[in-house]
Amino acid sequence: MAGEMAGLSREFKGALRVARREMARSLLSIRSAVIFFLLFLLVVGGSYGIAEIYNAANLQTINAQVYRTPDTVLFLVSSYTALMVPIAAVVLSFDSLAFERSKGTMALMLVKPFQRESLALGKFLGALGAVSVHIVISSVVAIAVIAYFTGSSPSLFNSVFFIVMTILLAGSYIGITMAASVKAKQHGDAVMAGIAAWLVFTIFWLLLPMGVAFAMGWVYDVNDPTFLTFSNRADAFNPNGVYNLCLATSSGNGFLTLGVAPVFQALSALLWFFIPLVLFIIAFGRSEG
Amino acid sequence: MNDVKEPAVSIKGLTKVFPKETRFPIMAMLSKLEGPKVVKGLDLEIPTGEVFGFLGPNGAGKSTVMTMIAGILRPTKGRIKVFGLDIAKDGPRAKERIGFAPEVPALYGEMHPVDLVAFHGSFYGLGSKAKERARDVLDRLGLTGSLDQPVGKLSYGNQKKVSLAIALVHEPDLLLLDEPTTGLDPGSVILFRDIVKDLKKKGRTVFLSSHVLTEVERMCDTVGILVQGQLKLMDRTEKVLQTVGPDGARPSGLEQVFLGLTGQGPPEALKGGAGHGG
Repeated sequence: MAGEMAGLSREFKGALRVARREMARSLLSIRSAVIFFLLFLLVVGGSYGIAEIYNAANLQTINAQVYRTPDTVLFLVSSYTALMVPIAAVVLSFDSLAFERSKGTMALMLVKPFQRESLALGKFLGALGAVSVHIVISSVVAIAVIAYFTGSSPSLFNSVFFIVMTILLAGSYIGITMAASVKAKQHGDAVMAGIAAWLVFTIFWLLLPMGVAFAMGWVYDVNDPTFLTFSNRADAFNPNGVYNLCLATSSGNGFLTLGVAPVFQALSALLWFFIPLVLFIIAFGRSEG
Repeated sequence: MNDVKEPAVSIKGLTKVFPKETRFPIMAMLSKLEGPKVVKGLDLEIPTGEVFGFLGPNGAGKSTVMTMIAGILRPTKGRIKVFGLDIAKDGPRAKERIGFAPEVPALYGEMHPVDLVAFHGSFYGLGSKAKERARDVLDRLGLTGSLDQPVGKLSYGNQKKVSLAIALVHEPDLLLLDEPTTGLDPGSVILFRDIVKDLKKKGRTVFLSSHVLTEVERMCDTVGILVQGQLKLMDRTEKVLQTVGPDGARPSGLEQVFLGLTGQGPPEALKGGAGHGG
């Protein structure tokens, strides 16, 4: 038992060392600065824009139920984060393995006294840590902007929940990108896998409910319960969609999540975080490195 | 720390087949076709405390065998034990006792030598002593004057020393060195030889591959010659040099034995007339 605990401790410490190094490498890169600038601009700019809409009484009529509270303003900011955070995740993680392979440093990491799986976990945590720094800074400033321009702040719970869910979203894309990069022979193949996932879940997925609604002869209207239920259930199979559902529920806009109970939203969000991660760890553990 | 009962390295039936390379990467990803067999049923045992020279022509499979011993590559078939620990089943515990320096230094170029060596040392439980140990090893390798610049800015020879420092920092019981003296100046080669002698005195095992046969002859207790993935010869160095050839002549050096076994040398070398090793 003591031996097993010592083994686990060695594995975990090894993974954390890899994560620290990976995080520093990512954060100090030029692309990290560019991604931070874009994310900051979009999220903080978006929060300002939506806060202004919140303030403009005449625009509240767009959807009287939705533009109601600072929590809802923060929820609506998620449409910007859902767009940009996956890109940040892909850009900061696609070459995590390819970089080591091309430099030959992967061999020196594989000779270290821990399992390949711990090295994979360390790589994942490092990339997640780097993206999380961007997310936390952008989100905190966005929350401050919302508070300043609407006159009241989103609740502490919702603010923390927003940040945690955004980090989970980033984790899904990092897992997908890294799982693809295990097999990828070239840097471009790994980045392509991440971008393809982003395109599928951000753009093509929107077309799915429309296509089904058309085929089934339903009314294509977000206020139609049949359509909304189907659209929400489809979203549960999409990391961006489930991110949106969870934030809608937490911000008090649960009526938007018709057909997907909160417990399933939470379950789906966790599965979207852990399944790509586990697939990546298994694939890397089986690979030659 | 050394377990005198167990050999440092014990290899049984080791085979390595790489996947088939294809023209298009997507085919390589999907293909399960087997490529060349680089190592073919290798059996090898290196006693603890020996300096072993692993020789062979380019492409013989030496680096592949060494990376499999280090637990970097996985064998297709066969078993590798390091001090009695199966590298496939008990990898982390076996790897705690291994130091590895690849042929081409593989370093994070943006890090400074002390930080880099300490980073690698930190995986072996050196904790707060990692930096101090890193400085000591780099000092021993004569790199004291180059510590203030990133590793990427160092000369190839100095990068090679940093790579060696990474392998040495945790004082491993088994040191795997792939072409350790390539790119080193004569002074550094002498220093390296002293380090190997010192390690041997401490009872450590050194497993090195090299094309500098005079160095191998001087440093190694035992030599093994690998040709096309198969061990053609494995014996004590002095015994190899005493072996009488079919023509009744003794080889003039390891170089002549090597050329004879690999069939690479000029005809006069094979006949035993023009050897100059040693």
